Amino acid sequence: MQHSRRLALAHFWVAFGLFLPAVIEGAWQMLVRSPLPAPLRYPSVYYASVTLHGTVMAYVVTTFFAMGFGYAIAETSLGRVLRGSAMAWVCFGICLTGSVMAAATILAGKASVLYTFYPPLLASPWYYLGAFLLIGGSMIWVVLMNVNMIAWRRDNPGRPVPLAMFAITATADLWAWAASGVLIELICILIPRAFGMTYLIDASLARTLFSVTLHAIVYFWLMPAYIALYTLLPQAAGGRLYSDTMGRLTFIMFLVFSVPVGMHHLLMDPEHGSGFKFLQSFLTFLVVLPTLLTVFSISASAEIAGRYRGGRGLFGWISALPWDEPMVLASGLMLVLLGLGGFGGIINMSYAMNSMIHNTSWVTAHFHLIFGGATVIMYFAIAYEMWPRMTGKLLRSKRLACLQLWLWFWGMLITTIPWHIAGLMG
Amino acid sequence: MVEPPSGPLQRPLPDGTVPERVVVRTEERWLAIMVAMLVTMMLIMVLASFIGALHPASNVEVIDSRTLHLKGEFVESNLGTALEPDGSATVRLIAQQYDFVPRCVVIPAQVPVRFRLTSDDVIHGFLLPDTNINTMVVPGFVAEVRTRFSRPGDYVMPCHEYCGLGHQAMWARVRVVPWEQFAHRGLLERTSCAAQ
Repeated sequence: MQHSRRLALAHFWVAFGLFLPAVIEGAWQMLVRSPLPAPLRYPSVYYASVTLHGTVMAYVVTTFFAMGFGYAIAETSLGRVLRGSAMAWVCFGICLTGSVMAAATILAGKASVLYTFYPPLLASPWYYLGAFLLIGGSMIWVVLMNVNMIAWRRDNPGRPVPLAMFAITATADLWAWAASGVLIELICILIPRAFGMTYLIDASLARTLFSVTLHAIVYFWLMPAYIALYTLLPQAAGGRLYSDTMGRLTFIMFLVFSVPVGMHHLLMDPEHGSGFKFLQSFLTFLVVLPTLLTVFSISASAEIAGRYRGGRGLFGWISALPWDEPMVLASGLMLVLLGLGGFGGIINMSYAMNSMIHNTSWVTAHFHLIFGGATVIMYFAIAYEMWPRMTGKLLRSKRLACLQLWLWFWGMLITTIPWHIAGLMG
Repeated sequence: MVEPPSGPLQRPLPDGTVPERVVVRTEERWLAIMVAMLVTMMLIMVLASFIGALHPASNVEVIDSRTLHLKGEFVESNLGTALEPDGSATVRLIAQQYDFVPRCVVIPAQVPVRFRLTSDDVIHGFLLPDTNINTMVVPGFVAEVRTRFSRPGDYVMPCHEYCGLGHQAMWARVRVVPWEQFAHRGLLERTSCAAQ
């Protein structure tokens, strides 16, 4: 990974460099909502801060992380130099410009619209333009991933594409689909309106377009975590992947099933009929399948490793796993968080049951478990795994890394369990 | 590139640790069980919706948000609670930055209630804790939700969709009173309790 090293590192630095202030903001917001004293307790500061936290976490951190991970995978798994690395740097520049533009607009207090920015509520046009540059710019990365995979296939006829590359290309294509909704919304509705070129806004059309993005994007966030489960975990645990086919099937299923899911966010909306909502509920159920297959495949892979390390009996292989390896520990904790978050998710998408918890803190708890919990804990583990490979320096202390993962895990549980309860109260 | 540290237990395993046919068989079994589980859950959802008549607000009814205050059912004099000839109640509300109009509505207990809401500015949300009432209020559409209050009492009604810098102040109240008490109220006292 000589050539893409700096490229991937630059992306990881942006992702984790922005993660830190955004996570501190999150902690401050919890303080504001609590009875404890908090500095700057003004609604305007609070909403600007929530917007920044959401925008950075949902769009900036995730996109930069996936792009960096993608370049690293392309070079290591294909075993050759990344094609189009000049374009990759251009893409990096465009995305960074967009992120800075959006963040500066929020900090100036001109875009307190939350990261979902549902119109008719409007922000300064520079916020939308920043979002457009970041999301639109990342489409260059999507093209690069496809180009690299296709070129490798042409040069290696008859050989299957390595699973990691196959999966990251599926992730890139999924992102292209997910982003299409918000990109159309930005170009056709929000940017013209914010610049004053149009006057009326169709709130329901904008909301429906955004829903195309808002659920598929979750799988875009989650896929790097799954790639680590399928490709990095078996190695770290000292075993092998149970089934390569199942891995590929999972990623194809995610790509296909992510197409129609987003509109379950609109189950409580007056602009869609009940037949349509029923259909969307059904289609969302399908997405549960690739996750259940992954849980099986990953547990089986871990069992192989555990038994190989001398684990005996029905559950003995679990304790035989190397839990002091950050990747192994993170994967175990991730499955717990994913299980809890997924359980809540099934309730969310269940048509009428949604009315109990729609738009309450239950939903905040759900996506903090799935993204802030399950996904981010794997981002940490991937960073602990990839950073030494990229810099050539070994991790100073695996114990410290594991301690951090445990803290994050308990922190997420302590944050989200009360949110679930509060959500049920209304 | 630096290879990851390789301890004694990280030597490569031989291929075929688990025979291919075993892998395929277990995966097929798992897949069948999971599909059966999902189908069961879907069936429960369908049965619950049809037998219990549980449906979210899906009336898809459009309205011109620019002329709400000028004509039609959402003019100011027509807001609040109205009794229908069949004994049910209809409550009309406008959600706007940062208030529900009227701020407090009186509703008789034990009768079917129909809430009709719309917005004249941005997207708002409407939720009554401990009831099945929960809907988005999107400008340009009328959201209609139905319920029946079994017990008298006061319900708080917060806006649940971020609608701007005053969002946290957007509250309203629903006061459910026994039927006899409602019947004795004057017309104005029936439609709104904001003044009380």
